[in-house]
Amino acid sequence: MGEPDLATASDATLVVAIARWRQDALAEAYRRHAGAVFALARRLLADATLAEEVVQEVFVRLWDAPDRFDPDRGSLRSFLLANCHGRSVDLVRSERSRRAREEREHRARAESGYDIEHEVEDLVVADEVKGALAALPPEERRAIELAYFGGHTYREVAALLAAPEGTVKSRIRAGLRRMQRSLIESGIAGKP
Amino acid sequence: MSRSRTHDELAELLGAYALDAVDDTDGEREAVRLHLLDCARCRAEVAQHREVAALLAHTGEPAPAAVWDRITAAIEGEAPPAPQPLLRAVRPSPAPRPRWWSRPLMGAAAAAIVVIAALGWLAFDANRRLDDLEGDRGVAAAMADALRDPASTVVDLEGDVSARAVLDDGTGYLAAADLPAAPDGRTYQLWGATGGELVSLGVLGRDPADVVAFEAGDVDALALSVEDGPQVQPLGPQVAIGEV
Repeated sequence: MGEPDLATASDATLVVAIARWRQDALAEAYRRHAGAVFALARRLLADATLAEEVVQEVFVRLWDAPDRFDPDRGSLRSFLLANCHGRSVDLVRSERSRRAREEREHRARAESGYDIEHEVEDLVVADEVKGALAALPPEERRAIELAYFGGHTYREVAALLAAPEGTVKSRIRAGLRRMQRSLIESGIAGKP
Repeated sequence: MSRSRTHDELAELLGAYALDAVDDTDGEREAVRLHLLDCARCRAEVAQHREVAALLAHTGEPAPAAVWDRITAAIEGEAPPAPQPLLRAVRPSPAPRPRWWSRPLMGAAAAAIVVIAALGWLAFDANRRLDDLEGDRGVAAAMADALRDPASTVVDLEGDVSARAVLDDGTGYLAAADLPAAPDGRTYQLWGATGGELVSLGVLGRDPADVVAFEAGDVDALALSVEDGPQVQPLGPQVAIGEV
């Protein structure tokens, strides 16, 4: 049967190939997802060089430990983005990025909302996600934005929003659930 | 430090946990992590939250080219491979052009340009570069051939840096050996102007190989800029330009 065609391979197939030391499989994973990983890291870190380092770490980690990815648990993209997000947040919470982040926070508060960058590849998805986010009750949306894109802990979010910590926890959880329902409805997210 | 939490107390944290918004104050993050090892339902919930978060992060930026070099270096434990395969031309989306492009050389305003799917947008073909280690010698030889061909056109790019290119039957070669390394985190990018339309001819990386090949098409001019990462339109400073 020969080797799988990497360009159309599923996440699971790709990662199995990576586990078998196929560098071209890693390259295909890079081609598909490095852009999103880089964009997320850069948004969190406000620093392209640092963001590049995170991209490198995420993909080297994928190469070194492909067994960490469980296709039943979610997509390869969300796996890579979760790694990226975790790593970026660690950096964000160190002194190096703190100033850049606070500057951005000032600007972010002045704006009415935030913009999901134009997704050339899939405008429909970006539109639906943007819509689902905008449709959230504002306090749920703000909590999610500050936590995910601001890299803040929920306690910091509570301080920023002058809300009780318990309230922030449940807003984040409820907001994510609400978005999930809306995205399942519009066919963007798969049913759990 | 270790106080026992109810399942509900832990479950309340799952949304924040999935967004990396739980730190280890009071051992909270560790408590959730340990709980997840035992509780499939909570694991599933965290996975779902992470899928939603991944969609939030959904953007169409192209992958940064320079980083791939460092990845392959890290996993191979040696210097990044030198070869540059044929760079793929891409078309930028309609957008205002930077001021340094509005010279008489560039002609009239660009016509409507088709935006191509960002998925295919990598200015170098990562698959080929990894497998084709013969490419380097081949490309240099091809450039030498092109220089000897009387039908080819030599283009000297001048500016902050200089480089010589030769265009031969739609294929271009750029002698990039003398280009100084770009600043950290930056990359060279090659542009072609076709009647006022701007096309990226490819990304050369921070420290370009000796010779790079590209699809020249029918360009009027070639230019080099220095960018933070692959771009669809020039954002960084132009460092060299030459008319065909």
